[in-house]
Order: sequence, then structure tokens, then C-alpha cells
Amino acid sequence: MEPLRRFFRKYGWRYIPGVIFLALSSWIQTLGPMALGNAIDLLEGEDPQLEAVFTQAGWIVLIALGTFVTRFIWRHYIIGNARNLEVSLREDLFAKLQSLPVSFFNEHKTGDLMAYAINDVGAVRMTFGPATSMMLTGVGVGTFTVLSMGVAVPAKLMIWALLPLPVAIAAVYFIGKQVRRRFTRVQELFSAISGRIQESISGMRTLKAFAREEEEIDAFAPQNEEMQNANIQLADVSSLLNPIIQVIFGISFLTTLGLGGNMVYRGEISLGDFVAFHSYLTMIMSPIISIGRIINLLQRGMASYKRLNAIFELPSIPDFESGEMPAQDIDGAIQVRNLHFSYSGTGPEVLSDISFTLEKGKVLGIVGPIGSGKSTLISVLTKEYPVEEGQVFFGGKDIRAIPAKALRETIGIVPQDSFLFGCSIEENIQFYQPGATHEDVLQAAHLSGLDRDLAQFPQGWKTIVGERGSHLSGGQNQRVAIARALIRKPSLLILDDCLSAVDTGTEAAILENLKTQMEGTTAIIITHRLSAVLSADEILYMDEGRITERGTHAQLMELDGDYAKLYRQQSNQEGEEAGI
Amino acid sequence: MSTKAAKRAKTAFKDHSSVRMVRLLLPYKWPMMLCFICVILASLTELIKPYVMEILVDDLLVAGVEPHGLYSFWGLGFIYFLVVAIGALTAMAQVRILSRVVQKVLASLRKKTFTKIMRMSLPALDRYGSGRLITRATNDVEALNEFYSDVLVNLFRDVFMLVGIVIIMLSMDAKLALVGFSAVPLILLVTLLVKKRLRRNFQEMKALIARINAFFAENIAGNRVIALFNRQINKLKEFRALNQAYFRTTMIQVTMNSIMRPIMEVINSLAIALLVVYGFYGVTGDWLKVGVLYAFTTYIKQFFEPINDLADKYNTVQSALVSADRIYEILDQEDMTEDIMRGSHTGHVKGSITFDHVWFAYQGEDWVLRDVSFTIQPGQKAAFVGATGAGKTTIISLISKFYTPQKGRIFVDGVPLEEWRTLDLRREVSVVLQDVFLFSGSLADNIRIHAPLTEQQIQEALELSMADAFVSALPQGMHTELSERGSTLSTGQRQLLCFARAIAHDPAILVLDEATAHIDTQTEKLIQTSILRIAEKRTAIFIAHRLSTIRNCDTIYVMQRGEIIESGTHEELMERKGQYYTLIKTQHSLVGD
Repeated sequence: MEPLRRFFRKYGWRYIPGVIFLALSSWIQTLGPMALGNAIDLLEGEDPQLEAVFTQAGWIVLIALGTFVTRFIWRHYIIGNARNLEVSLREDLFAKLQSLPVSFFNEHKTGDLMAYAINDVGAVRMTFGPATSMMLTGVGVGTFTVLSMGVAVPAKLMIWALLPLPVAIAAVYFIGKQVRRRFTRVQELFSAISGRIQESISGMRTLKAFAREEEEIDAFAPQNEEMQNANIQLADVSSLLNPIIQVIFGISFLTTLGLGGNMVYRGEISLGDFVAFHSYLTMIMSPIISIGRIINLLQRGMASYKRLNAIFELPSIPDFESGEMPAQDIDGAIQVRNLHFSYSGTGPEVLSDISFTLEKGKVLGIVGPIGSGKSTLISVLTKEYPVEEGQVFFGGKDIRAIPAKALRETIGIVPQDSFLFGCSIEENIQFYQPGATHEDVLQAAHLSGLDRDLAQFPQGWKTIVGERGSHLSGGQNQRVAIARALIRKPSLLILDDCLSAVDTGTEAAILENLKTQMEGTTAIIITHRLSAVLSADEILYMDEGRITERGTHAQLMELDGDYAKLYRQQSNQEGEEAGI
Repeated sequence: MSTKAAKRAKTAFKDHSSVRMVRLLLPYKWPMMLCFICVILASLTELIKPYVMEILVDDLLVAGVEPHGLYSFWGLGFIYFLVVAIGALTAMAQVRILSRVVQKVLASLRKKTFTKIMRMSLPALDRYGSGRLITRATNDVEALNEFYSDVLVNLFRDVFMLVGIVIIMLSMDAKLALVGFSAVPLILLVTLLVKKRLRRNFQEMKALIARINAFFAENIAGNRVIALFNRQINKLKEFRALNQAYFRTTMIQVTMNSIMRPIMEVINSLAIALLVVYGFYGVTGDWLKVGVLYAFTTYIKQFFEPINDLADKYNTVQSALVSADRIYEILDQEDMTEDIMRGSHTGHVKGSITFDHVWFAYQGEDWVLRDVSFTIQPGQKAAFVGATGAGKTTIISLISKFYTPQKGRIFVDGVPLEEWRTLDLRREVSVVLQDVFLFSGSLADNIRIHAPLTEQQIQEALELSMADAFVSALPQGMHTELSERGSTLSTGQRQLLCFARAIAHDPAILVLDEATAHIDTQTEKLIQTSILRIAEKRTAIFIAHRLSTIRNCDTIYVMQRGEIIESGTHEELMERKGQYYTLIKTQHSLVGD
């Protein structure tokens, strides 16, 4: 069931006391002018009595207290509930995003998804909180005011005085529309100009390297000016709203004074009624001014609600909720039989006819040019993308029968983009094994060669890595990611071209560590540098989604194909340098 | 920059940010004057409205004066309408005049800040961090927008209204006025008690929502890692904790707001009730007119509004002041910018580079370069090798005059670096960086970076850098729009573009800083050939972990901990069997048998 409906089933009842107290509050509010009018009548009449005046003053205070209490209660139910809705929607959204397949994130920018969490959730809150209460208050106050007016003065005065109001409502509606349009434009320009500033500052090193910062400054000017003009245009139209309402109400006041004054003069109504009527007219003004805002909030809320629902309705990963399966059922040889794969199911094949067997404890190397399908193969093996039945097996079990969660519990992966979280180095390493001891962290950091750089970290292992690891060098990022994968001693280790930013000496040391310390771990190593896979039990050479060559290093050299050519290119360079 | 210098820069400007914010409006003194006249007129109309009612009630209704001319119900009604209309017109005029002034001030401030940031030197950029600088030029400037267009004039109006109401009430009836004002201490008390707590809570709320957003963003960006490591539940729990903490602060906010606003109205009503009771004595004692009493109830309401407003505006003023402080902190720094037009020596670079006993540290005595000396002749190819952190990249930054060495001198074409005009120097030194940055815009614009290059020149650069193969495969070729940091391109492709960019600017000195790290071996092989071709006409400097790329260089400098420990040709260094030899051996043993 969609989250919003679920929320209302659970908390929707709160709107009932909310609305009741809101109506009460509106009604009590409209009593105010009447009490004041009565007091004035008393004072103006012959021989006013102190007790009677006291009673009216008491009413004025009591009405204020009544308004205070009822308003407090309805705000607690309606506005408080909207906050509750906001928090609950955001959490549902977070959980929903977690359950979506990786392809969803490839198609959506982080910034766009953030807009759901910030703007859309916020807009829905505004609709169900402030906009709802403003609307109800407007209706309540409006109705009660008009009713009270009817009691206070003859219909003739009321009708004449209220006659201009439809014009006011129409003005609010049309000007409001203009304001919204120009406001949207200002917002768009603001985000455009912010984006530009962000880009210019982020790219400043590049601009400076080419000494083109002055041109960048000049290029900024038109956008800046556009923003200035859009803001002025917005102010021009929004500056109309209040004055126009004021003038239209001015006509109402003119009628009240002229017509009503004469009525009092002729004794048709009392002075108190006249004064009360005047106050009512003032009271009805603010709900009318807020009509534009209410419409705006409702529209935005509805649009946001639709956008959010589109996300909530997306299908989750099939076995996202389930996940228990004993690790030994998964442990064992990996078999891939005639695997064909394309991202959309019908599009061009990214993997064609892939077959191999990786025995437990053996090392598989995968090499090949960019775009040959190496990383896609890893995504298939980690169940990031679903495959047809009968193509991939873990320990003899079809991958489709293994829940993704259970499968991933056994895999330690170092992805190409290492992605660290903005916490400390130690916390990043502990990520895969919460509750791991400091010794475990040290051990993993040693295996990944990260401890070589310990001296460079100002706070040691507690050093914060910065947003996405930005305080560390590329090589350090990669080694933290390796340590993160190793800490759990996974039964399958996958290294996806994760040593590219590490210098050769360090790379050698890491590979040596892995060889000696991780004995018995099944491993898949993807790399551009062949040095990393020389001792692999089998090497696959992939090109355009197919395995074109396979075998041990020696066998592949003997085959004298693409692998051998690549090897010679790399080793020639190194070899010549070595003088061999 | 030292902290002492920072202090000096700060104390040089003693004026408080608020004063300086107001001073920004000075160039617009005539429009601002007009604006204030409008505000005064608008406020006056507000004050006159109840007065018209008072005349109508007391003279015409209570005292029973015979209506005549304007002194009639319709006449007074018309005057009332006129007052309203004048108020509406002046209020509108005020907003329009003010918005023009304010938007101009803000646009110029935004431009000034942006310009200042763009002219910052690299050390200053390092110190501030780009994230903070971006906030200065965007959100901080926007916070001032609210201050100027919402607070500043309202503040004036509120104060004017307060003073006006006090005067008019006192002059109409001093005793009654004092009765009305008796509520003021109560208001101040409530305001002080609740608003302070409210403000603190609001700040907490803002801090929490910022953390929630950051957490959300990180989890979206890192969704793959979280999924692969099965950490969804843990992250959801962390998120829930944050979200609940936020919920608690919002509920405090809701409750306090539910008290704050209505309680003002209670106090307001209390004051009116007091007036009514006091009015009884006044009316029976015949020293108070009913109309005055009614006017007073309106004035009391009008009196409460500015007080309420002033309390509300306090937040905006506070955050605007914080933003202004931050903006001025940047604008005031004198030693943060560099003038790329400075330097007496102009003209083309031929390409010789000399380092003469150069010492350099980014901070204090943490020497990154120690006593480095070398000379590269025009057209020569030099390479710097060594482990990460040996100081190779720093050398490049020094040649481009991004940093100044603490000791020693650097010459380009025999001219000391400080005499070179920075602009000329930098345009002649092209660096292909490890960290590739692409701007949004077309691919061609990314190669141009504002330089007047023809499509022909760009095409040649693309061909030379081997980027042509993938660029011509794109639907719009070089006119293809690149998105968010070139995310539609692979790392390798981005690096090729960067390479094309460097070549297109036809530099005298070309620097390749680990430029081929993400390019596969076949493509790299191709590029190597073109590098040799391009490098023929110019000085070229290579920085590499992988030694294969540099064996043809005229001189290879081996660096270790900021020092040049060996130099010579590949053959010479191999023969010497020193550090270079060991490096080569390690690499080779990884590949060969």
C-alpha cells in the first residue's frame, strides 16, 4: 500500500479533533467584535452600569482565552500531524530508495533524487499542514463572520459592503498566478546561478591553469543580471497584491461608513453594531489575501505527491525483504554457463556466451579493453542485475534461488569507484563488519597496505576522510576500500580494477599480502595491469562481451593472441627500461 | 597566510557588518529617500484611518453634529477611501523602488564575491575549501536578499509606526494611552522567554535537517556500496535516529509557535478589556469620548503588530548578519587574491626552466621540496619519477606560479619567475592533470575554456590526442553537451579530452601529470606516439608512476622526500644501479619473469 494512504489510515483520525477545534476557534474569534460592540453600546447608552461593562470586558478576555486554547489544540493535531507525515514520508522514501535496483541510480542524478527528499516531502507537509489549516480557517472565519454580520446589521448594509469582495477574490487569484509563475522563474534562475558558481569554483584549478578566470568572471555577468531582473519582475507583480486588496476593501469601508453611518444616525442600528460590523470587515480580509497562497501550496503539494508516488510505485528488487540462507550453501565453486546478458533484456548484448568455472580457493583474472563487459560480469555475479535461470550457479545453486542479501554476505568487493563515507578511516573499514575490533581494523589496513600511509593521517585511523573520501589521495581511497572488503574475511573476494591509483611498489606489496594471508579465498581480479593476474589460476581475456581467450598466463602466452600482445606491450616497456 | 596577517586584515575594517550593509545602499540615496518617504506616507495612512473613524463616531454619531459637505458620512467614507488608496499606492511604490535598489546591490555583491573568489590564489583556495566558497557566493548572498527586501524597510516602518502610535495615543488621551501601554512589559517578557528558546530550537532544527540531507545524499551516491555490503538495515536505522531527533525538534517548534502567536492576542485582548473598563470611568466622568475609545482599540492592535514583527525579524537579521560577516571576511582579505596581470616581463615563453636551490613548504617547515636545482632547456623532455608524495606535482605548481617558494629562485627563459606576467606564463604552460575537470557546456567549449579557438584547431587537437575516435562517434560530435562534470563520459575518455584541451592551447611547456593512468594500454600506446610528435616543438615534462612512459626523456629526475636524488638519461641511470634501477626492477619483476 502506498505510504500516504498507510499514514492516513494510522494517523488520519487526528484531523477529526483538529477540524472540530479549528471550527470552534473560528467561531469564538468572531465573537470578539460583538463583545466590543456591546461594550460600546453600554458606554454610549444612558447611565452605563459598571457591572455590565465589567461583564463585557470579561467576555473579551474569555474569548481571547478560548481562542488561545482551541487554537493550541487544533495546531497540535493538524500542524503536528503534518510534521509527523513529513518525517514518516522521508523515512519511507529512504527505505524505498534502498530497495531499488542499481539501474535506477544510474538513470537518476543524486541532486534530482535529493529534490524528492527535500522539496517534495516538504511540499506535501505544507499541503497537509499549513495549507489545510489556512483553508479551513479561511472557510470557518469567513462563514462565521458573515453570519455574525447578518446578526449585527440589516442585510442591505451587508450586501452593499460585501459586494466588492468577489472582485478581490478574483484579483488574488489572477495576481497570485502571475506571482507563482515569476517566483518559479526566480527559483530556476537561482538554482542555475548556484550551479554555475559551484562549477566555476570547483573547476577553478583548471581555469587558473589556463589563466582564463577573467573570462569566466565576464561570462557570469549576463546570468547575474538576468537573476536581478527576474527578481525585480517578481517584486513588481507581487507588490500589486496587497494594494489592490486594500483598495477594493477601501470601497467596502466607504460603503460601510457612508451607508452604515447614516443608519446609525437614523437609529436603524446601534453604534455598537456599526463598530462590530467594521471589525468584521477587517477580519474577513486576511483569509481572502491568503487564498493565493493556499492555491499555490495545494498545487505544489499535489504535484509533489504525484512525483513521490511515482517513486513509491516502482518495483523493488524481488527478494529485497527475504535474505536468510546458510553461507555454506553458497560457498563453493562458481559456475557460469552460456551466460547472455543485456541491460534492458531486449537491448544489445553486453555479455555473450560467457562460460567458466571458478573452483573454491582459486583465483580468476579478467582482463580486456575498456567496455568489454568485465564490470558487468561482476554486477551479474553480485546480483545487481537479474539473469535468466540456468546461467549462473554458486555452490551448485542457481543464483536466482539465492537471496541477494545472503549472497552478498559472502562476498567482499572492491568496486572501481571505491566510494567512502564521510566518517573516519576506521569507521569506513568497519563498515562491512560493524563491531569489528581495532585489531581487526589494523589487520585489514595492513593487508591492504594502508598502514604505510598512517603517518600521513593527522588523526591516525580516526582521521575523517571527507565527503566521498576527498581528504585522501586516490590511492589511499582505494586501499581503504580494499581494507573494507577484507575485514570480514569473505569467501569470495572481487577486486574490480581497484589498484589503478596505487603505485607499483605498493601494488606488489598488496598482492603479496593477499596471496600469503588470504590463502584459500576465492578471488576474481579485474585489471588493466597484467602484473596483478600473472599467477591467477585462470585468466579470461574479454573483448566486446565475449571471452576471446582463456587459460593460465603461460597458456595464453603460448596462444600468442591478444593477451600475449598486451603482455608484450606492457612488459616491453618495463623490460626495455630494465635493460633486458 | 599567517593568523597574524588575518587579524590585521580584519582590524583594518572596524565597521560592523550591519553598518556596511546599510552603506551599500548609499549610492542609491535618492531612490532610498523616495522609498522612505513612501514608507512614511503609508504608515501615516495607517495612523489616520482610526482617526477618521473617531471623528465619525464622536462628532457625527455621539455629539450629533449636523452632517454637511465632506463632514458627512459619505464624505468621511470618501476621505477614508482616499487614505486607503494613498496608503496602497505608496506601499506599492515603496516595494517597487526598493526591489530595484536591492536587486542591484545584491547583483553587484554577488559579482564582487564571485570575482574575488575567482581571483583567489591557490593557497587561499586550499585554505577555504571550495564548498565554503560556493556557499558564500550563493546562499550567503541570498540570505542578504531577505534582509534587504523584507526586513530593512519593514524595520523602518515598524519603528515609525510604533513611535507614531505612541504619539497619537498620548496626544488623544494620555491616561488612556498609559492604560493601553501597560501590556508592553508583559509582551516583552513573553517575547524574551519564548523567542529565545524558539530560536535555539530552530537552529537545532536547521542543523539536523542539514545532517539529514547530507546523510540522504551520501546514501544515494553510495547506494551501490551499501547494497553490495548489505548495509541497508544499518543505514536505515541510522537514518531513523536522525529523523526522529529532527521530529522532536519540529514538535517543540509547533508547540511553541502554538503558544507564541495566540498568547500575543490574549495580551492584546487583555489590554482592550482594560481600556473598556477604564473607558467606563472616562465616559461616565465625561472626560472621554466613545470614538476615542474605539480608535484606541484599533491602535492597540496596530501597536502589537510591529512588536510581534520585530521579534520575528530578529532571526532574519541574525542570519543575515552572519552571512554578511562571512562575505566580508572574504571580500576584506587583501592577500588572498593574485593579480595575474602583475609582472613586468611579457611575451612568449621559449621554454627553458631553471630551479635554483628551491625550498618549498605548503605549511611551516614541512618541506615538500628541499634544495631542488635543475635546468631544462627549451624543447627538452624531462621526467620526474618517485613515490607518491615525493614532490613531483609541487614542482609543476611552482612553475605555474601557483605557489611561491620560501627559499631559492625559479627562472623561465632566464627571467626570474616573479618578473613574469602570470597571465603570459600560465597560458604557455599546459598541464594535463590527474584530476580531470570538465565543465557543463559543449565538448568544444570544454576544450576552448574561453580561448578564441576555431573548430579547425579543436578538431586538430582532438585528432592529436586520439580523442577524435570517440568524439566523432557522438551524435553531435564536438558540439555534444556534457553533463555534470562530464559524467556521461568514461574516465579514460575524459582524460583524452583533457589531453586535447592542453594541446589545443598550443603551449610552450606541456606537462603531463600521470595523464595516462586511466587509459587502457592500447590507447596509451597510440597517445605515446602523438605525445612525441607534439612534444617535438616544445618543452615537455612528464610525471609518472609508471616508468614505461618516460624512457625516451632527455633527463629523468628521481625524487625522494622532496629531493632530487638522481638524474640523467634512462641509460645513465640504469648503469648507475641506484634508486631508479631499483624502481625499474620492482616494476619489471611484477610483469616479467
